[in-house]
Amino acid sequence: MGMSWRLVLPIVLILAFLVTVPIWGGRYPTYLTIQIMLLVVFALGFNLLLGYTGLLSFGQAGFFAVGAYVSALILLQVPSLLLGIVGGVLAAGLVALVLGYLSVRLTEIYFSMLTLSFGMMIYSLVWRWRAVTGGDDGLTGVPRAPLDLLVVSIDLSDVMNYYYFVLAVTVAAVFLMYRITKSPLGLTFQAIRDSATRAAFVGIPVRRYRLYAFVIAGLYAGLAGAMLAPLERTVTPIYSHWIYSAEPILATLIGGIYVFAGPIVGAVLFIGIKEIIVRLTEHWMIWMGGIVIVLVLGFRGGVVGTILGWLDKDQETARAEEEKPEAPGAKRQPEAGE
Amino acid sequence: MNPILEATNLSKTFAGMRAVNDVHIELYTDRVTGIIGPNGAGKTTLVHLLTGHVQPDQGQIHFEGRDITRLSADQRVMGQVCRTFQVVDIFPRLTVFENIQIARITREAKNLRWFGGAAKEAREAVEAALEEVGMWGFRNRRAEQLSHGQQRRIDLAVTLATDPKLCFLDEPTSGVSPKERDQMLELIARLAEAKRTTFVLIEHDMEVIFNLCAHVICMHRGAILAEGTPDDIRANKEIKEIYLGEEV
Ligand SMILES: Nc1ncnc2c1ncn2[C@@H]1O[C@H](COP(=O)(O)OP(=O)(O)OP(=O)(O)O)[C@@H](O)[C@H]1O
Ligand SMILES: [Mg+2]
Repeated sequence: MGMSWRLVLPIVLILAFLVTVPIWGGRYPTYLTIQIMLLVVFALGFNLLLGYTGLLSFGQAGFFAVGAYVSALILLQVPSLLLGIVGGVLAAGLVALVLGYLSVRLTEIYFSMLTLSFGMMIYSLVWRWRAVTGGDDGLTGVPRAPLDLLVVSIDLSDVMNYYYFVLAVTVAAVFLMYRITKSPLGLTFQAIRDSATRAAFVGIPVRRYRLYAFVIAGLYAGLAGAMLAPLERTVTPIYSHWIYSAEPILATLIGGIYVFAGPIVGAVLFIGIKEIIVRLTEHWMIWMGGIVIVLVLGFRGGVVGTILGWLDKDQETARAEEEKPEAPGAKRQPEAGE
Repeated sequence: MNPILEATNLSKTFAGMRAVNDVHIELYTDRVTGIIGPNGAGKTTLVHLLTGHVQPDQGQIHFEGRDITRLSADQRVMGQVCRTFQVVDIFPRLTVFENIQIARITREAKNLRWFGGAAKEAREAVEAALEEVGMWGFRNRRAEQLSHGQQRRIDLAVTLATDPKLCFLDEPTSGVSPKERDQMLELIARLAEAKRTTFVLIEHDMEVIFNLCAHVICMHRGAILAEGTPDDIRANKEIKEIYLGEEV
């Protein structure tokens, strides 16, 4: 069973669009698209936790910051992009492993509060540990080092070139996450989300799998952070602030938590809307908050979830035809309103 | 013949109230055991203790001769002790098919496969399980869209898909229509007949218990008041009294 053209066609169009952005778009749209892609990676990781495993983390900025700082520190020492990114990702994964081990003992709001506290701890650590992090000045002069691939060395110092690196990594990260969500591992996460008790009573060690989801989310946050450092060339404590944790949360809520594409579309909308309103008003956060509330209340299940729901209605009707009750008593229930 | 499960001195106190009080229980593979008792007698709590959902304050549990007292619920399931809950507990957003499939994937220890699609895993076993409970036609529905009676059947099918040697059913027919109830009981009788699984049935309906069970345990205030064949239980004056005293 291959992918249907209904899936392939939009993907091809989107990729074609993305590949040509630096050609027709100019510097700022290119930069903005990189920002969107970073948020896509960040939010996809976050939603593996929320939408797929049922865990709301308020501390993801902590892992983003670990990725950003470690990649910056490496790049300031060794001018190898690959080393910087991989180092940042692994560091974030390691921190997520340790903090996740402690966090997944709790669930629901207690889990959320604990992740918030850990995020705040990382924030103050970044502030205080001047010798390493540069305190409130942050780390400056991070080089956009060349990408060394065996024999070739690709110069990425121009944002237009760096764009293609981020695009390639993002496409790979999205594809990988898609595979995870469709795999037995992804189904295991979803089972835990739906009922942790039932999951235990089919034999799933729930905590361990929550930890796996937490680490994957941490790796994705770290990847987004690690790619940000060479883009901005400076890393400051703001990236570890809990307000920054809200970005993937809002993007995901806008797009929809129960659909794979939710965080992707949500990231585009979030940055798009933000970009427009910061030009119109100083108090962009208030407006952003208002817009998010309208979107979340107006599109239950997110923008993508709602639109898919509309498209699905026809198929539902067709499917109902095909289902004939097998046992005489097994009448189909009337459709619950969605 | 050795019991498949034996528990000794099991006790559990909730906020000063002894929900299960020094219980000794033996379960054998050659018979269906019924557990009866008035509301609040401690039946569900006893099953919680035996399946690892709740840790006992004291006592030991041996399954097939092995001490499982300290094992977690999921470890016991992998060791082939499973159960249903008094209130339906399935995966509401997963499809009916996926509900069974996740049980099979876990049984086959494939949860860590992270790249290949889940859809093709364990198809035949899931198909068989769905046909068994008459839910094949509903395989693509989300479980939350089913009627309560259908959800009960899926609940049972999920539990059976873990390949339990020993399986506790906590009031599997509560809240379903009379017709669905009969179907469910017929299904349980058929499964018990197949003898792949040893069933322990908690029920309020005496007729059901006397029809399905060869051995009946009656609990009252956390303790085992009496046990024996259905005839023993029927003849027991004390049991009649507690049922007349607290409910009919
Ligand atoms: N988690 C808990 N916390 C506090 N008390 C509890 C808890 N679980 C059970 N109990 C109490 O323990 C006693 C036994 O409850 P249990 O659910 O085991 O009874 P039961 O025999 O299954 O009753 P029913 O027929 O109503 O299902 C009850 O008094 C109940 O209120
Ligand atoms: Mg009960």
